[in-house]
Amino acid sequence: MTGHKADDYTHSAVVDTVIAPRDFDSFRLSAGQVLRFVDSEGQQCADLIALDPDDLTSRLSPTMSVSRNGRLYLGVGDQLVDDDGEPMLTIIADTVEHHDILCGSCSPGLNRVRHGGRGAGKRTCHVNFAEALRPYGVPAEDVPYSFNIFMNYPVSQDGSMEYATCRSSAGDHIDFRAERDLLVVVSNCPQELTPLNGFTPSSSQVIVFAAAGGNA
Amino acid sequence: MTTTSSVSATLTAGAYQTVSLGYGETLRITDVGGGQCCQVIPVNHGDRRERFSAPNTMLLNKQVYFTTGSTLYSYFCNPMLTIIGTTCTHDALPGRLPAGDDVLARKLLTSAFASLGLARHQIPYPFLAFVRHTIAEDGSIDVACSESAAGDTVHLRADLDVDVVVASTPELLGDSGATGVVALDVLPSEEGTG
Ligand SMILES: [Zn+2]
Repeated sequence: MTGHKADDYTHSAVVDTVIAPRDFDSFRLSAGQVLRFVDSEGQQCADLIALDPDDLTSRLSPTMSVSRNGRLYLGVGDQLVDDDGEPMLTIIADTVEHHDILCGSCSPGLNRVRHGGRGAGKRTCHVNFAEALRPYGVPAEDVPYSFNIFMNYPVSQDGSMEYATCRSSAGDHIDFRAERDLLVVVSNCPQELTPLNGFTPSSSQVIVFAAAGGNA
Repeated sequence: MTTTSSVSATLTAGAYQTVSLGYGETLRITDVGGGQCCQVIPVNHGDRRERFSAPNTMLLNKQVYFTTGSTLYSYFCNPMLTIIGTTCTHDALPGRLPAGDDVLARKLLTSAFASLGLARHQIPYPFLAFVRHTIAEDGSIDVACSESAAGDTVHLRADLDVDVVVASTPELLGDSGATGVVALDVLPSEEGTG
């Protein structure tokens, strides 16, 4: 296992929860808090979206994040920014260092086109996000695109894209520090028709640590 | 929709035009000055909730570079436009840009989308006609390069009734010196396909 670890903030969990296979959870982060996503069983990716709770039209922008970092594959020290390039989350630890930021989320539409009848009625990250944001009045067509933790969807030099199983093993994790107050939704990717999750969605864990200095 | 409609317009740098296409009609974009960059965003004419999706388009074409035969898909994964002919390649990738230039290009789209009744956060990342971003093996991505010379074209056939926002934004190419001049023409649907 390669990557970086940072342990100074990991003593003070304010949230520690399991996300069941195919399920999602929402988290209100205060500036400085750290959200850790843990792949509990291995080969499990998760889609993450972030919005400003005081202005839901301000959301994490994968494309602007690529522009600002100049890279498709983000890792420790890189920032996820909003449409205006303002920082939302900073990756401060990452034991896998292989994520996707181009592909958006699995959705009923993608399942329909790629898998026809086999995809009908399957749970997807987009459905999870739409459900999570419905109480906030965000319609399904305005669900923002995601940063895809551990997702293995590399682009070749010739531009071709082909998905493969996540490189994460049980216990692998990535930590994001909130640069401002945020609403974050994590969808434990339900995709079982492609190799991404090894055809078997599994459970994951999310821990939120208090901001450095002790403010929860 | 009639099959004989024909619209022509010329865009210069910093200008945009919204072109309405009936099912089967084709939008031809011609690079007049050479080395251009156009942002192209289709929106379903009958349902503004359905807009272009760069991620779905890359996923369903299994490619980040688009050419003849590539289809531009919506957020709901329905075909919106198909490239039925082109003399160069195109992409929908974000590029490395000095902070500010990307915001400038977005500002232009904000006006275009306001006239469609859509807000800033509802503007999709665009299809970039005549543009190619090079991706290094480690995933680093550079300032966009234009692929086109004067006279190069892309023909986009409407797969549904669609409003297409086209903006000329050579600033996305950095200091390329591009004039931003492009010509837009709507061609009627071919016999038997309309
Ligand atoms: Zn998913």
